[in-house]
Amino acid sequence: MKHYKLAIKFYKEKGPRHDKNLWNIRQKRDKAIKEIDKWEQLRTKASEIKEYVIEHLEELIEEFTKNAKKQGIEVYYAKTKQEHNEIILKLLKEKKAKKVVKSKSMLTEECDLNEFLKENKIEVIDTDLGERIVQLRGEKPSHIVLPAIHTTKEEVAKILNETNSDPTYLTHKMRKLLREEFLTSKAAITGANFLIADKGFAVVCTNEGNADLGVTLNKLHIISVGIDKLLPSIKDLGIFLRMLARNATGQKITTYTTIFGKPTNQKRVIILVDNGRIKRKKSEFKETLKCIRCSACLTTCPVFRRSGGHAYRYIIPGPIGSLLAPLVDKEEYKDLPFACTLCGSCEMVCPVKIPFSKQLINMRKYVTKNKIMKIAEKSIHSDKTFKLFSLILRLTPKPLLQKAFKEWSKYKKLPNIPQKRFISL
Amino acid sequence: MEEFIKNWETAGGEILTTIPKGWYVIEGKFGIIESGAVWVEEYNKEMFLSEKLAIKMPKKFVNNMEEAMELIENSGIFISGPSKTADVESFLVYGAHGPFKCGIYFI
Repeated sequence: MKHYKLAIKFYKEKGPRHDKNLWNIRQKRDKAIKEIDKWEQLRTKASEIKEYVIEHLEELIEEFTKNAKKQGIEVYYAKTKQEHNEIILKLLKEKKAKKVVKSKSMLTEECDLNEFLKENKIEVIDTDLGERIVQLRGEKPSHIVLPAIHTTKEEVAKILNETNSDPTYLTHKMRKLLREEFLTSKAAITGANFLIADKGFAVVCTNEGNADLGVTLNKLHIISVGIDKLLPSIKDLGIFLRMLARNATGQKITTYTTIFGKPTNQKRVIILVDNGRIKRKKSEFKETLKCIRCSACLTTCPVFRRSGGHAYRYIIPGPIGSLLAPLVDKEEYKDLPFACTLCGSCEMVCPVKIPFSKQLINMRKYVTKNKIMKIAEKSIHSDKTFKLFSLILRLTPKPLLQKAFKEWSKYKKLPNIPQKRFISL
Repeated sequence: MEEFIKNWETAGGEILTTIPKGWYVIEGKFGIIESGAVWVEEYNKEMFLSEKLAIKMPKKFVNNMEEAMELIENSGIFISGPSKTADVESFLVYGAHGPFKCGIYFI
């Protein structure tokens, strides 16, 4: 089902509440960034650092690998998601781990790791409360920072067989249930928010402490991370830590920001995952590699707030997902760059200045295979052919036009057809 | 220091005048004013398994995370208040997986 159909369904059931909750977070974010007097300068710096990272990606991978090994961390490079999953399976088998606790990692979702390990008879417990809720519901996260934002407290109570739907009660009940899982697990998998090339560190930010609990309780810690998370030096990290939580949820910082280096009494493994990133670096969409997954573009997007994340069907929804999904499967996700009003709100809040408007228009072109549409687009840019189109449309009886544009005219009145191009007025 | 305390309390943290019985105690190195966080170099399971965590730290502060990075050489963790989540209907709850309470005791 395409985005707009799923969006209509979601909006009728949950749209207004979802919209309101996310808008509250956007307002908190605005307040939090105003507390920093040089926010715009920070954005510029962050954007420049990320541009540098994209240009020097291969060198930084090499430098990071060398320094992480010096810290006593095992480093693997996975070209594809299959390679990533196989490495994890091998590591878990070596440890005879039948149960693994995982903290939130969009990368393992991108790699379909849960399904893969399940097929290989290894139990994966998602430990982020929101992600555990969606796992128990048999769903995927609908938002990259707030995975269960689409659910109600009554729905959470239902999956726990509880009649009490008080959020504090439910949260503490989940804590108790998950504590059992933590104590009986044999390995921990986390993602990473940043990799520090000059030190060989991996940095993980959480509010719940689930990543830290999993890591400190287990003898094996696997970090799955995309190569786009690299930063050249620890100095750069300071800039991103000032921005990430403020821009994501309006917090000054997440409760826990862990810098993982030399392991003590445990084995630490980092899997650097490419899965199309090097190819993307060479494409017109390379700027999407700047993304730090703060989720501000989702939270602010007027379409996302009303449609919910599942309407996008890809693991990363919203404006950034609309750029990433068609690169994974052009046919399946070709509707996504059109699930957008080009309002530019995503571009305004992006901490690394991804040029969303331009990229979304380019993505529309990228997914449009239809020859007629391409000819139409070309001709509409010439005064002469525009006049011809305009004449044909004006001569067509209105009811016929309405029928031809029935999806458009369902919610809006058809406009009067202009005689001249906007640009020539 | 006042601003640090304000930001620490916004994150749900407390200021302790004594260390109450039953609190797990760790040592903090310095505070980050802008973030309301403390840099801690200890890292063990008790810090996350315990229900109440006290951080003993000197009255030493840096302005922001960029300044903090100059002082970091090895692994460790920034902590800002008790463990928290808003995953059940956007309702803020303390004690998600780690401590329900987290306090600073200045030395």
